[in-house]
This record gives sequence, C-alpha cells and structure tokens, in this order.
Amino acid sequence: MILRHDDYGKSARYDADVVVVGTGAGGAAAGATLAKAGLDVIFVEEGSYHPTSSFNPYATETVPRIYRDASSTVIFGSPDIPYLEGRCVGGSTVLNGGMAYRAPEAVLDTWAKRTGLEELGPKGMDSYFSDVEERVHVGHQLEASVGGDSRIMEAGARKLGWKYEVNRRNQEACVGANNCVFGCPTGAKQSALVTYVPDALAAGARCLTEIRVEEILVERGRAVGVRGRAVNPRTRRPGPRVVVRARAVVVAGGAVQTPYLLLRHRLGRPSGRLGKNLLCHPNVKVLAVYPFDVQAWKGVNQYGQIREFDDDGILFAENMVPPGAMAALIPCVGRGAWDLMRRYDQIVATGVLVEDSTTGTVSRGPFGLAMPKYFITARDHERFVRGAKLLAELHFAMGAEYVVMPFSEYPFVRSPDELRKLSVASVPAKSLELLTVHLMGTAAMGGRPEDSVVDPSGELWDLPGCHVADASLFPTAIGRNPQITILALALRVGERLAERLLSRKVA
Amino acid sequence: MTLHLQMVRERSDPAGGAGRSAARVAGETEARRSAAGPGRLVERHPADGWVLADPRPMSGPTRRAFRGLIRVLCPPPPGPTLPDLEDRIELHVRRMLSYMVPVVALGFVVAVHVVDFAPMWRFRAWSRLQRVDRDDAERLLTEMGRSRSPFVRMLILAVRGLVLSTFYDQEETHAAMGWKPLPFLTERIRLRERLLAGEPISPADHVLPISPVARETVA
Repeated sequence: MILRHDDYGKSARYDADVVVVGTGAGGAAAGATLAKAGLDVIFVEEGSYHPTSSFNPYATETVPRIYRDASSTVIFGSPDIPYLEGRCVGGSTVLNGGMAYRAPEAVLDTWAKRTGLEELGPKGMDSYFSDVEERVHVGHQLEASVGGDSRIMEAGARKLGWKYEVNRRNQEACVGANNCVFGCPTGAKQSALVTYVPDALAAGARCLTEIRVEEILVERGRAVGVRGRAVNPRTRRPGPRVVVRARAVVVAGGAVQTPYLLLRHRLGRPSGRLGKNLLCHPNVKVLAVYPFDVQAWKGVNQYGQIREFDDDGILFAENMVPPGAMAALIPCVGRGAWDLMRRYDQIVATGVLVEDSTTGTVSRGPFGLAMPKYFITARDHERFVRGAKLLAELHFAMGAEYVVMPFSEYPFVRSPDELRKLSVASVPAKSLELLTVHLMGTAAMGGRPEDSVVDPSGELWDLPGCHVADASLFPTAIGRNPQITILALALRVGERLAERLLSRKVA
Repeated sequence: MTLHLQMVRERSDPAGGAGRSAARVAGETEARRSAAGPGRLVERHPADGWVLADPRPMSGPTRRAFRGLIRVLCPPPPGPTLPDLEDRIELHVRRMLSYMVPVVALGFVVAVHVVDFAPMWRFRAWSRLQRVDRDDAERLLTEMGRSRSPFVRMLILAVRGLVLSTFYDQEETHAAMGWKPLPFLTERIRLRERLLAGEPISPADHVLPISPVARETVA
C-alpha cells in the first residue's frame, strides 16, 4: 500500500515494527529485507510515487517530480559543487545511470583494517554483493543497445591505447532508451522502484509518501519512531502531522539528509564524526561537437568506462542527457547557446570522475538548509585539468570539431594545439565547473565508538534503536559508482536488525 | 542470504480504507495508458495523479527584471521563436521555485535583481539589463558566466540554468533542433516487450551511429 498527502487527513498515526526513512537504494533494500523476514515495515518517503509509465524525456516535468529541490542543491566550497539526488519512491536509483560495480577489493580491505571489522572485507561482503547482483540483474548490455557516443569512446580508447571496460549495469533487457536520468520508461533499469520497493510491498510493507521527517521520537534514550509533516503538493507547504511509532528506526535519506536529520538531536557522540567525512566523487563534463550526426541520445546511457588512469583515481565515461538537462550545463547564453544546442545531434557528452582525496562536512544551516561543504585539493585540481585535457584529446583524435571544457574561463577548445596551452597554472581551481551525484560517508560505520558514528550493525553508538542504511555508512571513498555497495550494506543492516527484532519477539 | 525466520504478523489497514492511495491512482493510470497503447507512454503530462506546484508569487519589479533576463538568455531569430516565450518560462520557473528550500528560492530572486543591475556594477551602462541593447546584454552575461569570481558565476549559473533548461524543453525548440524522442522511445519500449516475450533481436533493432561518417569513424 502506498499512501500520499491527501490520505493523511488532519493528522495521522501509524504503528509498525520498523519505520524506514527513505526509499532509495539503502532504505528500499533494508526495508525489503525486514519485511521479507516477517516484520511490519513502514517506509516514509519525502517524494512521490511515480510509476515507470509516467517517465518521459521532458526536463520541465521530470526535474520537479523526481529531483530533490528541483535540482537546486549545492555543496559549498571553492568552487561550489551542484549535486543531484532523487526525491521520489526509489530515490536516486530512479535517476542514476545504472552502473553496478562492487567496491573494489582493495577498498574493502581498507575498510576491514580501518574499522577492525573483518566482515566489511571482501569475503564478508561477498554474499551480500552476490544477492544484490542477482536481484537487480547485474550484467552487460545487449549489443543492440549500444549507441554512437559509446562507440566513439570505445574506439577512441582503442586508438590511444587506453584501457576500456564495458560496464556492468543493473538492467534487464535494456534496449538503450537513454532516459536513465529522467526515469527509465521501459522498466529495464532495475532501480529500487521496480525491485526492492515492490518486494517490500509484496511482503506487506506500507509506504507513506510526500512526508518530510522532521525528528526522531526518542523515549528513555531509545528511538521509538519518527514525526514528520506531509507536504501539500500544490503549495509545497507543510501540512498534516504524521507520527510513526516503531520498535526500530532506519534512517536512509542519503549522505546529506541523514546527518541533517540526526544532527537535530545532537547525535554522533562520542566520536563527533556525524556529518564529517563527506565524500562526493566529483566530476566535470566535457562536451564534444562532431562534424557529423552521432545522435548520442539513442543508445545506452553509459556502455563503458575508460579505466586507463585508475591508479590516479580518474575515470572517463559518456553520459548523454536530454536537451532540457544539457542546456542547464552549457557555458553560454542567447545566440551562443543556440549555436551549440542546435547541434544537439552532433554532441557527445562525457565526464571525468575523480576519486576523493579529501573529505567535507554536512551541518544544519539556517532556514532549514542542509549545508554540505567540500573543498577540493590541489591534487584534485591537477587531476581534473589533466583528465579533461585527456578526454578532449580523445575527442580530437576521433574527429571532434571543438570541445566544450569544464573551465569557466576557457570554455571552448578548437584544436589540439589550443588544448596543449591549457595547464594547471592557467586554469585556476575555482574556475572548474564541478558536479556530483555520488554523496557518501557522513555517518561512517566502524568497530569503535571513538572513530565512527554507527556500530557494525548500523546502529548509532549513542541512540539505541536508530539505524543508518545508506551511503552515509561508507568509511572511505570507493572510487566507483556506489549503488551496489549501498545496496549490499543496507541488506546487511536489514538482516542484522531483523535477526535482533525477531529474536526479541520470540523471547 | 535467506532469513529463515517467519513470524505471524498482525497487520491492519492504517488508512482504514479512507483516502485515495497513490498506488491506486497509479494503478488506474497504468491501466488507462496501457489501453491507449505504448505510443502514449512517454508523452508530456503523465497522468499518475501528481500535480505541479502552484507558482511562487513574484513581485512586479522582479517579474520585469526576470523577463528582461529571459529575453537575453533565449536566442533571437533565427533561433526558435515561442509566441508566449516570457509567459511560459516565467510560469515554469516560478513553479520550480516552489520546490526549492525557501531561502534558496529567495536567493534566486536576489540573483535576478543583482544581474539586472549588472550593467551598472560592471561599469558597462548606466541602466538596468532589461533596458540595455540585447546584443550588449548577451555579451555581458556571457562574460559574467566566465568570470574568475565564483560568486558572479553562481549568479549566472542559477538564472541561466533554469531559463535555458525550460527553453530547451519546449516543443517548438525541439522541432527547430530536429529532436524527436517519442518515436524512438516508443520503438524501444515495444522492442523490450518483444524481447521479454522471447523474440530474438534482429539487425534492425540495433542502435547504431546514424551518419555514415560516424560509422566509418568508429569502425
């Protein structure tokens, strides 16, 4: 059962075994595990429910429907980094590119050593990864779904002798509609919307949508539920109060909203790490304009990644988006914008992703504003400039007419010679046009209360009954698309909690 | 990793049968749209029971400044012309502001005014942007978008992103660009249905670079 704003009357109260805040990768997977174990689960989701049949390629309708704050969210820093995340049933899995990578073994080894938890190592996590991969159909794309932009990237990598890896994606018979960022209209992308959320509902879970959770109910030092306000869809103002009481609370609002909610209660003691350790895997866009039609909007969103520079934490990938989304990113206006956009069929949109070399913070700002802050390092600056130049080099090698760079002062490069003139010295860090969609790490899991926020089962050290099950749990950066790792950790949290609650029930 | 722990559960319908659940609305919508055929699936205005928010109120001076900005940010002919360009973009942007944290929406309004006064504080003209010659105004905004100052760039990014995203999402603009996504998406939806029904893929089902030059480039 999925309820929405007009179902709550003047106020509403529900009871359950577990209340799960958020229905993205973490919330959905944890909730489905708990519901399938026989527990009464209620999801509380801030966004609305949009079925597969409602997805289309139009930015004006899609952005307010499924993106948080109509994609006006920013990480403050130098430069500022706009970030995107989902606000709908299924969360960011509805609008991501569908990449399905496990955290690398070296990263999991680091997690195990750093936290003292063997179970976070490659062996301990293996069965969770396998379960997730089976449920969300992780595999390679059908050849029939591969479009021109992917072929150009693959051929470019081959020409330059770079390592190219075909992506593993969570998809079932994906035919390359390339509407991933606005919701998959074919249902092929195995987002939480079409996997874990239906699993949970089939097992009896309920989903209360259009409610923003404002606080956790705490009684006798224990989390016993949540209180929130339903959001009026027309006025966007807070409406009826909704209370959900439960034996346990799972917070899965993502790496910004989870600490934002928990910090209200001054949690995160004794380490003081709640809201710290923000990781964001920032990226820059490089658009190439070719002298022929590529029609990159046809074909799978991201067929592969160039992994030649893995050792430096640099990845390249294609990522074409509909015109309404692309227009928000281009560095020109008026005639200049039209000169670029009228050649939409000839544009290949690509990106450089750089693994975090630093961490940021999330705090509660004034006027209800979550305040993420993140300052890139000199090393990041160098890698972004180098990465964007290398990617532009690939495009020129493949015959691009000109390239739109992510450097505000030098947005257009028309030849390899011009490209060579760009350097770290000539492109200041603050002129980088960064963006991110991978936020992680603000409520890190660990084995010791003095250096982590939650214990090995995902429960807050300083608030029994309150668990975290989302990307906030990551102790360190993973340098990969985080979806599968979030799902695996959330399954683990859900399983531990189910065992605990059911053993208490039996007792 | 199956949990072999089953408990008898007691559960009742908390809504007590009252209200109109999202799932029910969506279910009805799915049925209606399925009956209409896959061609209707990816069109505008999906009927999943969801409504766009009311536009956020905007004062007269802000509207005038914002409309001046719209005229500069959107291309003049021979770019696509929309008969009610300013109305359409203003209405949609005001709706988008309703989804933002109020202080961010307020920041947008402030940005509109600061940019409107940019010809003065950038020492270009003693008048507001809304009264400056269009070409001069476009040059100024382009230059501001490439400024060394992150603050100045953020001002432009905010207004440019919202206005251009709306402009390049209009039917007339798509027609002028030659972008027709619906036949392709519909064909892909049908193809996936065929694959799930067990039909094999034929060569005609492949997405390939369309232009022969592109095909030659990647060969």
